[in-house]
Amino acid sequence: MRALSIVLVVWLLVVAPAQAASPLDYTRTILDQAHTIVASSQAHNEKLAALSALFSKFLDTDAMGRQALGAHWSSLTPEQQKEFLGLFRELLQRTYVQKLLLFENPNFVYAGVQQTGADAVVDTKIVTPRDQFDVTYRLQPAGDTWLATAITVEDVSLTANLGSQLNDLLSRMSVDDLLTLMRRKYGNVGGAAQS
Amino acid sequence: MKMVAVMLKDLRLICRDRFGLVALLVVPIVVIMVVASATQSGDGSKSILFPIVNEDQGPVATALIRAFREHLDVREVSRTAAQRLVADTNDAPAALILPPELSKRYLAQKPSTAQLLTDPAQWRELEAIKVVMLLADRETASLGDPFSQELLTVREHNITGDHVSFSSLEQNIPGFSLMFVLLTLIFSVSLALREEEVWGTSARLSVAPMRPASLLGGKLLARHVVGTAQLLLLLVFGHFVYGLRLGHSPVAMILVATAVVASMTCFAAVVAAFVRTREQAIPVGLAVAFVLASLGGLFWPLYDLPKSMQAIASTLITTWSMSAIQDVILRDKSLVVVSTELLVLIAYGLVSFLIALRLFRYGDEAHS
Repeated sequence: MRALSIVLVVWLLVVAPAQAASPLDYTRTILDQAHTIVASSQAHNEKLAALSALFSKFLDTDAMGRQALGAHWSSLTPEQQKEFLGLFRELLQRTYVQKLLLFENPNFVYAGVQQTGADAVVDTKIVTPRDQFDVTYRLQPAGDTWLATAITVEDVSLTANLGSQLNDLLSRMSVDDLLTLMRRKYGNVGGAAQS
Repeated sequence: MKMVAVMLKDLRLICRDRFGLVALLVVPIVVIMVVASATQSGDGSKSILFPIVNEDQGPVATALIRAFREHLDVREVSRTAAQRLVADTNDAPAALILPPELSKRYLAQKPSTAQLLTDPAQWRELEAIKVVMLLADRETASLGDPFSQELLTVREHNITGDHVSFSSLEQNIPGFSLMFVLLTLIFSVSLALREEEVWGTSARLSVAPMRPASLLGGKLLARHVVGTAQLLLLLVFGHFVYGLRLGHSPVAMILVATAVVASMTCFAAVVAAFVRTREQAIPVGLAVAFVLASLGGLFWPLYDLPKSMQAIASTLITTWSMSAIQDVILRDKSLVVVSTELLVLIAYGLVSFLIALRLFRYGDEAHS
């Protein structure tokens, strides 16, 4: 029995990572869990919290945050960058999750996957009785899983859209003012942003 | 002492009419119950029918409809049915048409325009719908603009008592109670004095060895006792049946009710002095009571009146009475704080009494 346990642990540590999910499978696993949460009878805020927790291990918000800030990124001090990324994580998760929560019972359909080097692009659709909505995820391998570095909803990139709003704000205010604004709106959630 | 004797004699006469005494309470209670049922359905704007034509059938339209359902009686219908409900049957003040592709455009960050078909004749309901749409619009805008700044946040603190919200009953129960007390006083004082002339009682009293002020004062005191009891019992009824707040101090409430009814009783005597016959008493009494109740904020809040009428209202006995009652029962104000209102009411009563004494030539008609 003891020998069996050791074999099992060794298998989990060595063999399981080698059997890393494909980008499509991993996306499917995450979205299936998202479907279960959205279709559940939980209160809106509980769904919001559960989805945020789920997508925290799927969305590479640091990469998206750097991309959204574009040329401004290098003008931030390391402390400002750290705080910005924490706040951006909250902002992006909420923006994405709130869009997802518009659907009462989202039916995810997987249209295909394109592999370009190490990256993968997974095309999905949210199908409703009357319509369907295209959602595309660009994924990068991260150990035995995948991280989404870009999301496009109906041909509109979430990162590009938030980036244009950030650009607009930074043309009118300083980085400190932007961080204050983001802190006021997203800083109290979980406290992670403040760390 | 003579004044008290007159008062006691009149009270005995009033108490003989048991049915009349019961009616003093039953009639206002019936009216208050009808008004309460009509205004406190608890549905508010939820009883307003709001047809929605959902040509989108997407998640954004569904979310919007869900939001509207929390405030309005939403019914998803066809475009033809929506137009019929608004334009032909006038069952709905407005209908909303959510266009096709609304969800697609929303998720692609493109603006859409929804049509609102309206029947402006139902302006009050329409205003309520527009307020709900404004809220929905604000919530939707904040979804689309995650950086929207909340530059002004309103946090409510009640600084005039311990309740944050009140229902229309807090307006209607004291208002209708005061209106019935005023109406009763005007009729009872006018009719009683005229009846005494008809029966020759006033002629006999006019030669009695007592001053006119004591005579009129005693008669009005009797009416004052009945009126005060009527007002207090109606407020207590409102408290036990509808949960009307009566403030923290029963003493303050009783004293304010006493002052309010005292001023109204003396004012009723002035009206009675102008009424020469029983036939005049009914139209004059009704006109005076309803005009004062309407302008004095007994039927509806004063802000519903035009500015010019609000200026007139600030001089009326009913306005001061309602203000004093609301200060004590809703705002928990002490007697010291409402002393200005009490002084105005007492002054109103005194001046009215002096005018009534001057105008009311007790027993003259009997002599002539």
